[in-house]
Amino acid sequence: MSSIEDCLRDILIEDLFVEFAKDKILPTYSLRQDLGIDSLGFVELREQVEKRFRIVISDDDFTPENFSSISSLTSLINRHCSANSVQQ
Amino acid sequence: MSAAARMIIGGVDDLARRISDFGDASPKYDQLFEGYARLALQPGSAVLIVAPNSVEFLFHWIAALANGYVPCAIEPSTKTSLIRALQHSLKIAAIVGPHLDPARYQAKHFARIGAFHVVVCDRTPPSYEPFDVLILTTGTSGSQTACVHSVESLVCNASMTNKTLNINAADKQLVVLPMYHSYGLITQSIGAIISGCELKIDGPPFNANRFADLIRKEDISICGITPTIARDLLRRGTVLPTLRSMSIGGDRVSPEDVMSLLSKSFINELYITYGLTEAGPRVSVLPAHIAPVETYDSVGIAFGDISTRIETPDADGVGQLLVKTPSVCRRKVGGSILRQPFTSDGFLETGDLFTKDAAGYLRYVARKADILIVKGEKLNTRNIDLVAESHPDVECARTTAADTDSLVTRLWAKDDKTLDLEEIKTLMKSSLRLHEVPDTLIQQRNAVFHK
Repeated sequence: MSSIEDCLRDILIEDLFVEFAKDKILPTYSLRQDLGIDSLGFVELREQVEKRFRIVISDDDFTPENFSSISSLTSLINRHCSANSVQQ
Repeated sequence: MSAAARMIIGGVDDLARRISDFGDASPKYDQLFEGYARLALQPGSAVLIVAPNSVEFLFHWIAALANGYVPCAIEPSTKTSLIRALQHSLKIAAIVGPHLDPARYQAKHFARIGAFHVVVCDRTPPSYEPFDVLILTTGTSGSQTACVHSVESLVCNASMTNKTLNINAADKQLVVLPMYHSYGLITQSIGAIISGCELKIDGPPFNANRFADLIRKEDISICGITPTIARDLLRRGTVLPTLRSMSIGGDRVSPEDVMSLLSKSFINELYITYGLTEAGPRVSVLPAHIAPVETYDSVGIAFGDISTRIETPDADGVGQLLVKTPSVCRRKVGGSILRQPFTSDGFLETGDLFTKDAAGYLRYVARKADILIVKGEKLNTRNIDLVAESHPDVECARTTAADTDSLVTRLWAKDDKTLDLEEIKTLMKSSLRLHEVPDTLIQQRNAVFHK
């Protein structure tokens, strides 16, 4: 389990109050279909990801594709973190 | 079975050819129908469907209805605590949705219907009749209340909307708003079954560029959005492909926004609508593209089959809007309903203050005190206060809107203790819907609170 995936599970449980046991949230689960995240939930998720990973998710990146699952969101965070480290 | 019920249930096969979402699998309606039949619930049993926008959701809703059960849709993020409260207040017989844990509902087993789990929790005699439908009144009258509609009233309202907005089989409609609310479910989904138009279902997160891409790629001709989304599109300067019609409802739209939207060449017809769940839901519409500019501050004129009047107007003509509509709900149910919202001559009390001019244009003035719209979502501040007051250290709570995008709850402590605001916020987040959670909690110390 990557640390990013682990952190995303924490956000889902602690900040969005997704009612799943942490180890039952699979990286491939659909955030919308399986975990029931709704429109304001996605806004909260975006804010928490920005805060915890110290990245800025642009409106262009705030898409159902990037926010479809823990896996896709992890990829987005990795892209941002790589870009940040290159800039530094 | 009524003609309206036959139209919905008998139209499923045809609908299956006209409806799509972005999921991987298409549910087989016949299997869903058989799955509900196997539950062997009593006719009129209420089935709570806790699921996101999808074809699967809509087919479950219809399959439950076709079995003589009473479908009731709710947002998929609903907390167990609220579902359990609904179980009691609305007498829910079964809960349906992805990944249900039966232990949360004092059950040992779940069945599987399509991709969803089903937990049967109550086999006591039901409170409803076959082909009734429960529509939750989000926020307006408490979180645990609902309108009991008949399928006939929903079909009637969707037909009135289709007729007024000229929606027909040549259209392709995009659904981006929640299908568990009356607009997405009745106006758009049932409306599509009746009109024969195509239906493309999408869901959150909403993204303006994706919205434009979808309209282009899917050749969408009509869509409905909220004023919040409309303002967002205007603020970003989003250019959409040409739409035959766009309708906006659910909250107030300013005349300036109406003018800005009309200036966009990609909107051919712009409709500003007003409605409420109790009315089925649509009541009036302003076809802004052909309306006089002085009516841009209105929600138009009531549909032809609907009568309206202002109850005991004050000197400025302001009073509660009363509505008599063939699509009115049969009754309201739930814990906090003390009386039915109807006058002795059959008008529905909307709880909204309006004026009505000589030409029949309705102008919204205000809502009842406890109802707010924040971040585009309707909420009942009393529900929020009650959750805050369930914390053992809180004596009293009062929630207000700080502006259109934020909510503040003021708290008075028992024995003037220092409140742990983080702990209280965590409690509130665990019990409330996300849009109901206040952005700011403030402890009030310097005043005695008079209840």
